Amino acid sequence: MQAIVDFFGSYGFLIYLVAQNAVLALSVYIMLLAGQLSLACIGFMAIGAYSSALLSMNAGVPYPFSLVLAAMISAGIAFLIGGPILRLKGVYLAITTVGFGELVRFTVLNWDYAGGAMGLSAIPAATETWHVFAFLVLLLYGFHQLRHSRYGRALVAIGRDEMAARTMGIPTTRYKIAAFVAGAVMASVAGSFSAHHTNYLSPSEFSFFAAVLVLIYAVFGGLGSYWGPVLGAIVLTLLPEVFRFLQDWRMIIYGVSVLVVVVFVPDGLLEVRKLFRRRKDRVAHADPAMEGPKA
Amino acid sequence: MLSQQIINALSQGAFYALFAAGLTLIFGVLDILNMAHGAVFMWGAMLSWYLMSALGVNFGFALLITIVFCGLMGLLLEHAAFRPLRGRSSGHLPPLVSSLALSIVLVHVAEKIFGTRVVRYPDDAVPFAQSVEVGGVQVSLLHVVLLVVALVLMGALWYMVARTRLGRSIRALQENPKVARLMGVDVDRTIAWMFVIASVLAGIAGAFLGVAYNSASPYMGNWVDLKGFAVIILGGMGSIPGALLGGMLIGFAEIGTVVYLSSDYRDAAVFVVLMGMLLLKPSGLLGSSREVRA
Repeated sequence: MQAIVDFFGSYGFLIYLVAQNAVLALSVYIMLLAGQLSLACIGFMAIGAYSSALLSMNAGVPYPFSLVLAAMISAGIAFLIGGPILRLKGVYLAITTVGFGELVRFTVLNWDYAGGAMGLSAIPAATETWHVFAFLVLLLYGFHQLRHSRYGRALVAIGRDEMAARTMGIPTTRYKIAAFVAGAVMASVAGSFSAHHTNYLSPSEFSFFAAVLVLIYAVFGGLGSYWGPVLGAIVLTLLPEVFRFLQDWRMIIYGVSVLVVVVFVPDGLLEVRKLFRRRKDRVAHADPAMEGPKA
Repeated sequence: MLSQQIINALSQGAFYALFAAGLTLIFGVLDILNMAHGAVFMWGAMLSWYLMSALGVNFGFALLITIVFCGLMGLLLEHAAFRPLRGRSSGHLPPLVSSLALSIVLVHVAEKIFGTRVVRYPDDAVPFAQSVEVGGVQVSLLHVVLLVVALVLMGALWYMVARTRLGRSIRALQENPKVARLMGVDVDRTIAWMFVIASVLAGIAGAFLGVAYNSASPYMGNWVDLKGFAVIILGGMGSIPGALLGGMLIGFAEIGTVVYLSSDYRDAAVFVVLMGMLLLKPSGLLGSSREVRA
């Protein structure tokens, strides 16, 4: 028993981080499912974190309510900007959502009420590690249900060929906005958890690089199923810790590992088994109709 | 004062354009975002700084070595991150992520070699430090040189694409890779050259911008990547004149914000301009509708 407590004492934050990154990776995944490369998740994470922290610090809103209110704020913003932003396709969408994230960061950076460059400290501690895990399990259940639902299949159809999906009568814009809002809520909740877990927020946590890392989790793990982003988040969160003994070489190892996996298994770590299948199967997978979602 | 600011905006914009030209060349032909472009830019700045400060060579010689080095880096980039994925049917994400991974490696190798601090160039090594009088105002000669160098290089790039044999291969590849191969275009070689040229331009932009701002650090690649994306979207993906126009727009937006508002909003201005324009014209100012599809 003591061993477990000790283990949790030294690795508690890491265990927490694994779950938080998995939630973020899923928030990117739901948009990738619909074939949309959106990098807005860190922006919504920031909105969630700051809203929840400010609500509880300055308005005395208790923790669960601040979390829900923050999620509603994020959902509202996602709904408002979703219409115009999701008219954009491919890299245009990707870069514009990066722009959104940067605008959020500049806003908190230059807004004294939100602590400016100094950030916010002494945010009431409330998040337990199990909260994040419970949320993650809830999301996984949701994705499991989504997989065979009408809505989930419609998203995949949009991801394969948006024009064809629209021709089939799927209201593509509405579905894409719904996915965007869902992703925003996931990222926002992850942000609120983080604010009440580390008790400290700074604008630099929500950089472009952070957004890019989340995308790497998803693609590294594989987009064939919702387990891929989770696997990617777990492996890539633990990797720098495993190589900690290598000190400043570990980020180089990290980059090389990602490069090697993406180059040799472009469909993600989850699809590693594909490499061992017979050639016949691989030919079958080269058929575009057999592929998973693309962005 | 105003004309001074205009020169600043022009030279700054020209250099964003120079950086973005390589991005737009590669995107226009291969439909791929090269996320390691900023890392090559950073290496251009850091390497030229290192050569000038640690080895005491002059700017011209440092620039020459930087050009060769960044060209080789482009070759490495193409071979490690893009070539193995070519022809696979896995969509646009794997090359984007592989180039990101390589840029993480490049940044951390630079960190190990050059350290993590923001560095300053040695005073006597900064070229064109004097001012000249242009139309009655004192203008830093360095800014004028920056503008001229960037415009000449952009012109050379445009000439290369429009008039040379390699340019014809590139245009054939952009039109249709399969047909280009059938017509005898060496696709792998052409793409390798594109990466070399793009990386050399990024390296030169890095070396000059480092000197102009008199600062460089292993982390400078990230913000310039963002600006570069904004530039190519503003101008229209794949268009070299578009990159010039987009670069100028961003240069003016930035300098305008600094002069009339506050330097705090300098980086935000770029994205406000970008998002506003995209909502009005989603294909960019000089972009053709061909690039609008995903």
